[in-house]
Amino acid sequence: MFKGKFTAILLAVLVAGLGFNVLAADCGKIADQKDLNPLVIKNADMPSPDDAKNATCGGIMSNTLIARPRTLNPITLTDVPSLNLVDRMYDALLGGTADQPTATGLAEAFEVAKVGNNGQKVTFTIRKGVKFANGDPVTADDVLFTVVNLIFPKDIATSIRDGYACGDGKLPTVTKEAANKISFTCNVTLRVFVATMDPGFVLNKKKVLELVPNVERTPKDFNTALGLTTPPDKLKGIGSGPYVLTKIDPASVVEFARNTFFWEADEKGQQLPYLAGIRILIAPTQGNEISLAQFRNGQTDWLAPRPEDIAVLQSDKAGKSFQVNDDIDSGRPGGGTTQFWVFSWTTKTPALRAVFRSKEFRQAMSQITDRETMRKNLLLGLGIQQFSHVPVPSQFYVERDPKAQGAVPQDAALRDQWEKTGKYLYNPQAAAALLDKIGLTVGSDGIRIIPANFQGQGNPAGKLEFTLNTNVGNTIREEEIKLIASEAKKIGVNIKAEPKDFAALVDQLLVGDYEAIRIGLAGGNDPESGLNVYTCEGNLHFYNVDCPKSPTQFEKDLDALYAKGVATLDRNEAGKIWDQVQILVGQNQPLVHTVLSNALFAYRTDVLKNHGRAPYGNHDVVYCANGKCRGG
Amino acid sequence: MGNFILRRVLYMIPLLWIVSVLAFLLIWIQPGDFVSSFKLNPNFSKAFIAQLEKFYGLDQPVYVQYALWLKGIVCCTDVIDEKDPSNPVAWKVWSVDGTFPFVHYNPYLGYSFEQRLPASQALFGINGEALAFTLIITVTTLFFSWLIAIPIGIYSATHKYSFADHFFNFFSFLGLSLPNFVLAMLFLMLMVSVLQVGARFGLGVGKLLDNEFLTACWSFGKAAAQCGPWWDLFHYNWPKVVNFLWHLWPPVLIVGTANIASLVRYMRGNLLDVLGEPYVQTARAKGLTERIVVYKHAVRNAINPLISLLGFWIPLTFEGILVVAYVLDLHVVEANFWRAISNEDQPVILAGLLFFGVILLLGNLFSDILLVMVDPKIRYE
Repeated sequence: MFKGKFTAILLAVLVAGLGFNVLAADCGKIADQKDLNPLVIKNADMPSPDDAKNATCGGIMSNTLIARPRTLNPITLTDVPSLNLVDRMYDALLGGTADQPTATGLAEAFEVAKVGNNGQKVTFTIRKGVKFANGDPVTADDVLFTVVNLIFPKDIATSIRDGYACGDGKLPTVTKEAANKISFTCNVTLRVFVATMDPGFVLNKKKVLELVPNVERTPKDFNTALGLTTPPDKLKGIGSGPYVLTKIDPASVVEFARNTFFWEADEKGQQLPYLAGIRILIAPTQGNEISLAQFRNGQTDWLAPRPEDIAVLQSDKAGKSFQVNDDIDSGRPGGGTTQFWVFSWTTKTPALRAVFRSKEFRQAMSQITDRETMRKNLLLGLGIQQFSHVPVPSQFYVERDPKAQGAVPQDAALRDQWEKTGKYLYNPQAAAALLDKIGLTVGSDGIRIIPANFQGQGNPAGKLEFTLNTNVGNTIREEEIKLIASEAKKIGVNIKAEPKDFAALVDQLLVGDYEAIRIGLAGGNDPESGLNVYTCEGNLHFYNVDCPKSPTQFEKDLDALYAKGVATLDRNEAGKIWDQVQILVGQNQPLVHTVLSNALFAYRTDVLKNHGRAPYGNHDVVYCANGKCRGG
Repeated sequence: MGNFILRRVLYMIPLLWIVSVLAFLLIWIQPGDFVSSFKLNPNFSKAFIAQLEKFYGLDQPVYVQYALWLKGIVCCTDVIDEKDPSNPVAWKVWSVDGTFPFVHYNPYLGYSFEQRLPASQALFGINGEALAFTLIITVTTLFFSWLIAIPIGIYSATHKYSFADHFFNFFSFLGLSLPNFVLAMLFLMLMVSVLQVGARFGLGVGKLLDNEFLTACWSFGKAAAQCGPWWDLFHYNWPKVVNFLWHLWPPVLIVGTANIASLVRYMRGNLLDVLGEPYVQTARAKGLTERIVVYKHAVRNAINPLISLLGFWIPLTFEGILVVAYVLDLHVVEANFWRAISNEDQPVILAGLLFFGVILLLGNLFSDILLVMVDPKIRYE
C-alpha cells in the first residue's frame, strides 16, 4: 500500500503532540462507477494482507485529537490537527515516496522528459473517470486552478508554494496539455522533481469559486476561506478523498462519512473505503488524560499513547478488560518529526529580542536542555535525544551510519565538524560560562542582566526572563518546559513555563508574537521538507518572521546552501551539502531540539483491522471487524 | 412582591452598566487588541488592517468603542463577513428578534478572531449548547447540594457529638479538603478501571454525551435528517436526553460534594448558635414540640445567612464546574472562558466577564427574593 500525500507533508507542519449505529454493509461495487479506471489495491499490498482477505464494510472509527484544529483550508493549513481533518477529504496526484513516486493517486500515469540541459518536464495523466465527492469530474483545469490560483499567488499564505520552487528558485511553468493532462516544467530540475510537482491536494474549481467568488482577482481572500465554521454541505465535493465532512463542532467533535464516488477498490472489486465513517473527538485541555480514559473505556478505537500509558494498557489487557496490541512500543522514532523549543527573534521586548538573536545565547540554551533526563524520565526510555533538524530516519541524517548498506556516504571531516561544532550536549556549567562570556552577567537578585546595546543591537537593558509556552494537554511537553525552566533557573535565566491552547500557540508562532515556544514539526524525512521552515521566505520561518525584510548572515548562508541542496541531483553530492546544512543549523541553534519519542500506537486488536501501524495514514483500507467499531 | 421584584430588576440596570464599564475598561487597559495580531501578520495589508480598525471603531476614542459595543448588546450591530475581508459588506444584526414562539435575545458581544466566531458563539457554543449545559449543571448542582446539605446540617446540629454527627463531620472535612480536580480524576479511575462502565454497560466517560450523540439532534424535525426546535418535547430524541443525564451526574456530584461539605458546616454552626438563643429556650418552655421548635423557630433563622450567601454560591459553583470541565472535557461556558483567558481572546473575555456579572446579580436577586419569603422579619416595601 503506497498511497499517500507526500507533497502535502513534504513540507513541515506544526505538531500538537500529535446517532450512528452502523452494521456491516455493502461498500458498493467499483464497477458501478461507470468509465472509472480505479486504483485496485491487491491484498498483498494492503497494510495487513491476512486481515485484508476478511475485510468487511461499515462502522465508525473513532479516535481523540488532543489539540484543536485551526482550519479546514488544505492550502493554508500549518498544523497537524488541521491536516488530520482535511487529509481525509482530498487526494494528491501521486502516491509512493518522494524518491519513488508512483501513479497511485489521482494521476494514473506520469512521464518525465528532459528540457534543455538542466530542465525537466513532468506530465501527469489524470485517472480516467475520477470524480470529486459530489460527482464532478476531476480535470486538468482543477489541478491548474489549484496550483496557479490557490498555491502560486504570493498573497496566499501557504507552505506548499515553498516546496514548488525549481532548482533556480523560480516557480515551474504549468500547462494544461489536454482535458486530463497537465504538465510542470522547470528549467533547472530538482533531486525529487516529480514529487515536488504534485500539489498534494486537488480542489474542485467550481466549488472553490462558489465559496470564494473573487479568488482569481483577490487571492488573499482565500487565506481566511474554508474556516472551521464553513457548513459541511458547502464543502461537499470540494475534494476527492475517501471521506466527506458531515458534521463539525470545533470544540467537541468532527464527523466524516465515506465518499461514494471514491476511486479505489480492493481486489474483490469492493469500493473503498471500508469504513462508513470516521469520528474524531476533540479534547483540547486535558487531552492526554481524557483520550486515555476514553480509549480504555471503549469509546475510541485507537490511541497514540504516552510512554507512561503503556503499563496501564498492558495491565488492562492482563485484567482482560480489553484486547490491545502487544507491540505498542515497537515503533521507531517518528519519521518526519522533529521536536524543539524556539525563540522569536521578533518578540516585542527589545532586550529579549537582542538576546534571542544571539547564537551564543541559543547555544547556551541547548546546553541546559537535559535531553537524557527527558528521554529517561518523561519518555521512560522510549525515545532518542535529538540534535539535528533533519529527522532521524532520513537517509541524509548527519549521524547516519555511512557504512550501512545503501547508506549515503559521509565525509569524515564533516562528521567531525558536526560533532565538535554543531552539537550542544547538556552542560549547564558551560552554558553559564558562555552567558558570562557574552556579557549576560548575574544580577543581585540572581537573574542575569541583559546589558544595553547587547552585541551592538541597540536595545535597552533588561532582565533575562521570558515565558516558554507549549500546548496544553500534552503532558510530556508540559513537563519538559518545567524541566527547562528549572535548569535555566540554576544559571540565572528566569523562564516562566506556561501551557496554552495549541491553536492560539500556532497563531502566535506564525506572526512571531511570542517569546519562546516548545512545539514540534511533522513533514517528510528528507531535508527538502524543511524548506518552508529554514529558508528565509518560507511560510513557517517562525523564528524570524522579519527575515524577508532583513535576513541575518546565517539565514543568507542557509538559503544559499538549501538552494544548492535541492538542485543537486547526485545523491552522494547532495549528502555532503545536507551535512553542511545540518552543521550550520547546529552551530546557530535557531531551534533547540529536545527528544523524539518512539512512534507509539495502541489499538483494539479485536476491533480494528488492516491498518499496519498507522490507521490514520491507511484510512482508506482500515476496517472494523464485522463492520462494527467502538465508536458506533 | 411583584413591585419588589420589579424594583430590584430596575436596580440591576445601573449595576449592570457599571459592571459593563468596568469589564470594558479592564480589557481596554490591556495592551493590544485583536487587530494587533493582524499587524504582525505579513499576510494582511496595512490598508486591510486600517479598514478593520475603522469598521470595529478601534480608531475611535475609548468611549465611542464602548458605545459601539454596548449598542451591539442592547440593540444591533453592523458586522462583516470574515470570508471576504478585503471587501467587507456590512449587514445589521439585531440583538432581539421575535421568531415564534419565543422572543430571542442574541446580543452581539464582539468577534473572536482567535476562534473566527462571534464572541457569543465562542463563549456559549455555536448553538448555545455550552450555555444550556452550564445552566443545567449549575442549577442541578445547587439543588443537589442544598437538598442534601441542609437536612444533614440540621441533623448534625440536633444530634451534636453523636456518631452520625462525627460521621458527617468527617465527610464534610474530606469534601472540603479534596480539590475538585482530584475528585474528577478519581471519578475517571473509578469508572474506567474499577467499574469498567464502558466494557460492562457500554457507557461513556468524559464530555457531556457519548460519541454517537455528540452531533445528533435534540429533537427530530419533520423532514428526515433535519433537527426540530429544542422546545418540541413531542419529538425529542429521548435516548440522547438519557445519555446526557448519565454524563450530567459526575460534574453535579463532584462540584456538589465540595458545596455540600461547606453548606453542612455552615448549617450546623448556624443552627447550633440559634438553638442556644433564649427565644428557643422560651419556645421549649412553652411546651412546643421539639419538631416545631427546631423547624419553625430555629431553622428559619439559622438558614437566613445561607440564603443571603446564595448569590455568592452561584459563582463558586461556576468555579467548581470550570475545574471539572477541564478534567472531564465538558463543553461548557466556563471551559470556553478559561480558554479565552489563556489565549488572550479579549472579546470573549469581555463577554464572559459581563455574563458572570449578570449571573452574580441574578443570583443576588434570587437570594433576596428567597430571603423575603423565608424570613418573617424581612418585608418588602
